[in-house]
Amino acid sequence: MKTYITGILAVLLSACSANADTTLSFGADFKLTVRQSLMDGATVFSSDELSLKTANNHLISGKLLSVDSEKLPQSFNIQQYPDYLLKRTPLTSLPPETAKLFENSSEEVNYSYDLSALEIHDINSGKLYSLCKETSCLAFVVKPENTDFILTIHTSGMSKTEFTDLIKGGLDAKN
Amino acid sequence: MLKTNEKDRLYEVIIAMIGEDSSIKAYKSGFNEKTVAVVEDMIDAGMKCNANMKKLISDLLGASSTLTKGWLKKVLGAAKQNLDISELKGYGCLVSVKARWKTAIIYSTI
Repeated sequence: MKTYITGILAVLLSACSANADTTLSFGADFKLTVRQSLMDGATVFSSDELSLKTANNHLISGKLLSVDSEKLPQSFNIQQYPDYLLKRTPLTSLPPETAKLFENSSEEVNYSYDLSALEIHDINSGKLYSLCKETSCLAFVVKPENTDFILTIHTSGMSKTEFTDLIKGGLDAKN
Repeated sequence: MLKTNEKDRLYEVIIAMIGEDSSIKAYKSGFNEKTVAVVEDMIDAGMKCNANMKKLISDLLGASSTLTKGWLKKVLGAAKQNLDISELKGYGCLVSVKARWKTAIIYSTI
């Protein structure tokens, strides 16, 4: 009887831990579910972003971007932010100061992540832009129905495959 | 292991680039060799954001402007004049770029 109960408890605990994913909530429409193994022994810290250092020394960090948070003109369409930053759309239609900010930042992103590595994926609720250089990755998530915010997430210590799985799996989980 | 004056100097370099930041200041006592490496990377990348970054580098290095890996650690202990923060006149990149580096600096101390 004792063995039987222990067996049932083991199955229940196992089931619980299998479903115990953790959600990083950046906003009502932007949540990233991460598997529990990444949370075990992790440190959560805040800077300007919501950040997680895993027990394996991987960094997962992100924040919502808006016209206000990025100090861009109110007329700027934040959903076009990745297209300008990742050099998919010419900057000619932007005011000169804004264009300069994007131009400089594109150079920085290219230096840190390599623009030629850009991949764009359709996800269940929007579009994912991602790029990796060695074990540093950067992503932007744009959801058509949310015109006020986009999500950016960056990691270090993860391979491109791990990063893509984290983002695509985490966003598609239940968000 | 960084000495207290090296940590102070490193924080000076950070604020010269991205401005005063209380969240980074809260981790200043934890600055270490990894932080130095992150800030060195931030300066390399930051040259894409602000041409005046080269002025910061020459202020730090004196006449030399050769940036070999590990250069920042070598100059941290040097007793030079305070950096002229006003020279940078803004970071020159989007806020999200700056935020990534802030996170990387704090991450290096945890």
